[in-house]
Amino acid sequence: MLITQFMQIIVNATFLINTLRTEPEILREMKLFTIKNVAAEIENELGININDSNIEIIQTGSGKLDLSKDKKGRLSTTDINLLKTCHIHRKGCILVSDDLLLKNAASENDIKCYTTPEFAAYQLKKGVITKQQCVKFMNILKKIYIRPKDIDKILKRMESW
Amino acid sequence: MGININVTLPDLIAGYLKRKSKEEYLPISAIARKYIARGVIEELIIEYHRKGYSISSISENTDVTIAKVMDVLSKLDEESDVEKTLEEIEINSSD
Repeated sequence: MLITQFMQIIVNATFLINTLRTEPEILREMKLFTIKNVAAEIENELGININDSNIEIIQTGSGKLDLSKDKKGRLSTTDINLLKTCHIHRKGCILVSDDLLLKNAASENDIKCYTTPEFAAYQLKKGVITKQQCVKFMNILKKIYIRPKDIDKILKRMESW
Repeated sequence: MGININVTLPDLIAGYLKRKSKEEYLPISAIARKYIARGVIEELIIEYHRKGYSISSISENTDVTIAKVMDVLSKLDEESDVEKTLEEIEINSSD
């Protein structure tokens, strides 16, 4: 329990874009971390300077990853830098990304990774947010989410929580 | 700087492009170019996705924003194995 309270939440651009498009205030309420490459992607894409938010930019790590040549070729430099950074902090961090290839590569390298709706469910289970807040967020997110059926499945599961 | 391609379009499509050309005060070629580019980019995004490229990588390869890549991929109505992660979340939260 002690470890989870101090989990560093490292986010990529998919999470930030989804949140900025739905409930941007979440980004002010939570302590989040990212790397320089992701900050540049967000700045290029949305014209938002990450330094103006509550998101802390951490030094890009150089953790040793176990990735096949094929998988490495299908990930971007930003993805690989995120994985390297998370690998260093892997016992105390959670990567949040809606990219399934990145999530899969993270899992193969012993890095915990949640998608945006899974992360909301995790926050609910940890008591950080209420069920009402979680359901509201999921319903807004569903309108723009890359895999809306995933949200339906999570909402169904949450009924018994 | 690109190549010229002459194409014969069905009346329905040509009629639509003519109408848009009038509405937007642009040459019909500019309107056609816009729609072709949009369609081809979407096809490219899906092609890269089916080959297993990451969202960030697709964005880099097609020079399209990450948000746009996600919008295109959301039309595929895919789903992932969330149950496994939810089980893990449930187990961890009971620690």
